[in-house]
Amino acid sequence: MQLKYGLKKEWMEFFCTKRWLAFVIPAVVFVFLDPLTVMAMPLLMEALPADLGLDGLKELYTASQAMALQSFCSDFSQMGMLALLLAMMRTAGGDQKNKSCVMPICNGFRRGTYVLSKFIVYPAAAFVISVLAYLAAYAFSWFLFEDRVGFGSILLPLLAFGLFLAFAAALMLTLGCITGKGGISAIIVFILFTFVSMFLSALNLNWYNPLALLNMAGSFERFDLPEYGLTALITLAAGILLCLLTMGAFQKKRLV
Amino acid sequence: MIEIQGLRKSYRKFEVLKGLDMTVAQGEVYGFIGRNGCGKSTTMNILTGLLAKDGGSVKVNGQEVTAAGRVPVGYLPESPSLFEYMTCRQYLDYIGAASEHPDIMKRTAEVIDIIGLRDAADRKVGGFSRGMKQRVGIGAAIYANYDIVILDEPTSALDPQGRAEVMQIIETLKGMGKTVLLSTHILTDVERVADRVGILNNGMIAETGTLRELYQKYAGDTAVFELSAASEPLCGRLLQTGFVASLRTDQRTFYVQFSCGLEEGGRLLLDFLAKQPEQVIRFELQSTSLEQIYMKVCAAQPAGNGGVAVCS
Repeated sequence: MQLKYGLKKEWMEFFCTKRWLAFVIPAVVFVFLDPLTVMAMPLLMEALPADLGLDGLKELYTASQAMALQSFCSDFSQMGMLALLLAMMRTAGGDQKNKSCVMPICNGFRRGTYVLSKFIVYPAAAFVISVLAYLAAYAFSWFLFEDRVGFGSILLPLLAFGLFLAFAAALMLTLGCITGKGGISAIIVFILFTFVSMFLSALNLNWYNPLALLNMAGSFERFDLPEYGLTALITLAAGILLCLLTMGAFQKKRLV
Repeated sequence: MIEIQGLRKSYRKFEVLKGLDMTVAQGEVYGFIGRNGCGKSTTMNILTGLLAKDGGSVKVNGQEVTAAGRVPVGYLPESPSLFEYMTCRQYLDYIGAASEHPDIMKRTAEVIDIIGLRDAADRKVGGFSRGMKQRVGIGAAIYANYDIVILDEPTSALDPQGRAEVMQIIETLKGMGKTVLLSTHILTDVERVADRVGILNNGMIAETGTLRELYQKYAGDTAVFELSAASEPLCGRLLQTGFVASLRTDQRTFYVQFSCGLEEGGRLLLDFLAKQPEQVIRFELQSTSLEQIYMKVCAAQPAGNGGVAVCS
């Protein structure tokens, strides 16, 4: 019963307060903006002065649906993730800061259940919204480009994309619940994802970790299924571990 | 019943509670008063298991209280924060789920009636006035129907109407036989509902007792009367009576402190003045108030550091 009401509470907090809009609005923007930008790029290049030496680049550049989707993944994983983290600030640490969790816990709401409710609702919401955004970007770019990607080819990348953002939400909840500070947690998670990803990629070590999912989200050629499966499993396991860690830490957290 | 013995608590190097002893009997409303930062909220947080104590014993209904343990008390913290996106009904349903109540719908309806928010039950808490939010908080505190209810400054920052509404609910709880530990700065509220009072000062209970006991102990019973014209001979005549302990006069105004109780002294003085030639134009009996008792107790035992607590 507590879990049912806990899930309802988190659902209401995310949707009734319209915080989900902070995540959906960037999604809608990039769904349309990235494919249109990719499509317009040859025209923009044509308009550039010839003495810039971009003729070679113009010849190489081929606008395609795959490029549009990759652009969408890249932009939305950054700005969309930032929007998601900011939308989650209140739930990640705000309950502790304003002490709104005190009375429910005093009345017997189990701390573990309180945290588990957040770990179910927010990563699931991040997963669903990002998957729907990906599908919307695919549908819109289908009409813009002749060079298309088959629907079957995007299923695994789409899941990788959703899982990536769900993991970001889980990490945000962990940091926020442990520190009690939503704003700082959002900044730390964003920096972690941005710079650690760049660092691992530069050293060619970006595999078998949640950050590798972003590369997979933009890859439509046949890729290594075992590698994909293992990365996804590791990400799920990491998410579950984060949840358990947070539940344990919250048991001992001083709320007043 | 609440039993506290030798309770100690420090925040870093500052010792807030220095061996607090306090007992709240079953069915009693106990007024817990003290200056800002003296440790009232700290005591209440320890009682509810939200804060760990450094030493001493805290028992609720005979069971020792531990931090993060489940304590069967209803608790309204100071300035409670609610989920403002929920309606009053939804919030109380959530509290019902927290206490795992077997019939949430029925109990929520009962609590809404007790706190007097039937007309606003389906409005979002975010749109409530401060007084209404406080009533929702009290509703949450009494939802599980525990015998003991702890209220930390339930009337703080409320307007007179909000205060009156909250005090009415507290009187209802008293009528239901609940044990209530009430902390407040508004001493007239304590005088209105409390059976016993404890004054917390310098980390310990400096004074405790029923209101009647405290009034008798700290009686500063004084009568004030004013004459139509100054009269020096009246001073001498008053001092020769057996019921005047001390006398101060300011030309036409006389301040008389009795050597007996206020009621008897007042009666004797009135009888005496009725037989005197001087004309009395004003007469007033001034009894001791809880505020005066509180000031006397705190002045007698000043706080070690000026009463400023650093809590983190």
